[in-house]
Amino acid sequence: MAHERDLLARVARKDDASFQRLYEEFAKRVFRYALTLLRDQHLAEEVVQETMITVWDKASTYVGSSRVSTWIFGIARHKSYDILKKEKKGGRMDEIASVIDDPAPAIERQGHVRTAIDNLPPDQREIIFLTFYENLPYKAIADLLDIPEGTVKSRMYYAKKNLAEALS
Amino acid sequence: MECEQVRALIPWYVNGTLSGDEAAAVAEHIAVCANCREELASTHQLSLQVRTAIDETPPLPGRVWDRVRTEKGEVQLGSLDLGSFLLGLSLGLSVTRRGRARFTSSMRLLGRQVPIYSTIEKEENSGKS
Repeated sequence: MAHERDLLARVARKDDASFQRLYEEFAKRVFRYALTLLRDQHLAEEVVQETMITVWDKASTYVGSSRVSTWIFGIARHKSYDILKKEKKGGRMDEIASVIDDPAPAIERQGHVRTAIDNLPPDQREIIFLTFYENLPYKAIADLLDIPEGTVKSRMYYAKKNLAEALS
Repeated sequence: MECEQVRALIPWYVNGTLSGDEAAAVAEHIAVCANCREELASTHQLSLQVRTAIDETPPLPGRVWDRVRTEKGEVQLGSLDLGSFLLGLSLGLSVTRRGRARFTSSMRLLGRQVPIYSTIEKEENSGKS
């Protein structure tokens, strides 16, 4: 974590090489997070692009009260929902509805487990990703999603229940 | 700690992020509760399955980095890609927003990009020493 903070501090000083290293460390993780949220590869690429530009522009505003990863995922989360809203205004209502509600996948299926994850409601997919893939503490997830810790645990309960049913 | 409380914490016991006190309480309970031990085993198995499934996500295309670099003010003048997806060499020449030319090269090994040279990094490193 100290390494990430150091890297971000150098990005705040507009160090190009440090920005490239930060990109290499986080872009793929942000992409996977956005894919988990949006289930659309092109929209997820857009989220990565906008998130990393915001990191470049706003690195100096990072105050250090959270993990760097939580800060960056927070930006990615906002960008994901901004992109959804923008797409919605652009008239792609049907596609957006499918991204949010319809279990039909927007990306190619990569096995039974991936299908089961993609078929979860978005808030449960997110908890599963942040807990088992990003290894975030439940307190950090509560901060990131701006929800009570109890809600994080209850979403996990239902996510696990749904996954167990889908995989049985 | 009761079974219900322990089960609510098991996912974060598995990912290793509980506080010392919480982890100790979960461990103490699991040592004497077969049902919660079973829950721990199944959650551990699930976490491995999730990791494997997400690892199989399609790779992030290199064009995204090109777009980010362009948008933040770095313009690529040209690039050359040699070899295959598994083993190759990429060379690039670009100009940063500050007007500095940048030559970069990277190796591609089993599909993973490994930076090996950047003129700006070299200048910065020599400036520090």
